Amino acid sequence: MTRRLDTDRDKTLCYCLGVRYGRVIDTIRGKECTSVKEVTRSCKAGGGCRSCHPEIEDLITELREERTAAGGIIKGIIGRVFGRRTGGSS
Amino acid sequence: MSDGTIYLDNNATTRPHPSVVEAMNQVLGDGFGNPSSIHGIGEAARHRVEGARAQVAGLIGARETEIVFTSCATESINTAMRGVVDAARAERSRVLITSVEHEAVHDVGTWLSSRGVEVGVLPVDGDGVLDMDRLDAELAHGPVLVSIMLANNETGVITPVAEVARRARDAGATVHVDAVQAVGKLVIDVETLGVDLLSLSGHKFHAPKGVGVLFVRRGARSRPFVIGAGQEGGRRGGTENVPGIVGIGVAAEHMGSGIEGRRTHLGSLTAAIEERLLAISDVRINGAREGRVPGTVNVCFKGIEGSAVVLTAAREGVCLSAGSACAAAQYGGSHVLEAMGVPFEYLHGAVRISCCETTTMAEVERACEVITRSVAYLRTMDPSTSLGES
Repeated sequence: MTRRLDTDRDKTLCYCLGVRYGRVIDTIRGKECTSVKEVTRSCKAGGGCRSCHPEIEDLITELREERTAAGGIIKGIIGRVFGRRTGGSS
Repeated sequence: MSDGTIYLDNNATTRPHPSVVEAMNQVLGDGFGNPSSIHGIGEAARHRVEGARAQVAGLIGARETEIVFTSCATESINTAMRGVVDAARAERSRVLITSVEHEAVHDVGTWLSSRGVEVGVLPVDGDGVLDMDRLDAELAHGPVLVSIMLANNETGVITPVAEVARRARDAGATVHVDAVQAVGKLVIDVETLGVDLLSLSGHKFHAPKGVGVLFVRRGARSRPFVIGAGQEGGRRGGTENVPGIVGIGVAAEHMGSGIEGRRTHLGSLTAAIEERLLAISDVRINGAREGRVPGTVNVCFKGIEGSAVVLTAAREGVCLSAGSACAAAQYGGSHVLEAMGVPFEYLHGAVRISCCETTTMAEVERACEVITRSVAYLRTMDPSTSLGES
């Protein structure tokens, strides 16, 4: 999971539109995309034969988990600093 | 090319790759055996055929046992469409194709129709993109087969095959894909596309003419078209074209590698062609601006005949095509452009420019100069340019 996000940025994800992993990852992160349709609308990836849709869905899931984990860490820090429980995972 | 000719008709046919020619020459020299023979010479031929089968399987992510060698994509398409209908004949008899399929698919559709099979034709929009709502509506009628192309031969527009296949298979249909124009430009993976049958043509990707491929997914319900002595596991009769099969194997391996570099190169050529030709007045590029395979540009010049541009350019050593080469000898506009609703005054002015990996930027620049000059010349000659809107 981490390997792909970190090292596969220059590989092509969507051959039909010529969009690389890096562009898709940045789009999902930057626009907080939650669907393939949103990704396609933003960076065109997935707009051709659509065989890459499962891959884009996987990335959306992985990056959502990444966001959730990051959010938990931030909530934990806030909780420690302000001395109260936030309810987030740490 | 060595004589200075600029060949930009690669969607019609491609020049065999040097590695293909070399491999085929070896077979033509001392590899003449019949793969069905059980002696050493036959066994050597059999090994060559099986080696090529592995190479082709590798290109499309298939099992070797799912690859059937044929004589051309038209035979593959006939086998796929007629074979599926034949296998399901007693149950259902409805087939779906699109309005922009190659003549091979349309003509098999017409033939099936003449034998009582209902053939639905799905429309496309002005960009050549399939109407998915119509697809859903037609799938409700329970077709036995859906046959679609991955990349259009005239415009290069890509069909959402994976999505079509998912919906069609959910509806219980078998899915056949004509992937002839996509090799080496898109990654073709039969698993991610989710298709049951897929046709390829050797001469469209630097193998020789006379050899094609049909992928038949294990378990797919289909019957053979060419019946004979049990070759190809009983799926296609006739002694194997060993030199051609070896050639398509080598070409498959070549086209399966370096795809990103090839795409980048073809993309640059496409952009350069479009930029230069759009500088001509009364011109339109056909097909979606995005979502086309790189290397194909289909352009229409208002008020003149595309074939006249092709012939004028040919005199200056530039090889082009007026739409599909397979239909070049037929009178009338392209059925693909017609299906896309291209206006009449543009319809007959279609010219297709199709590049390959060895096409250079200098060649396309020179070709665009010749085309620009040809169009200007023809517009001074053709009285129809004074008609209609300017």
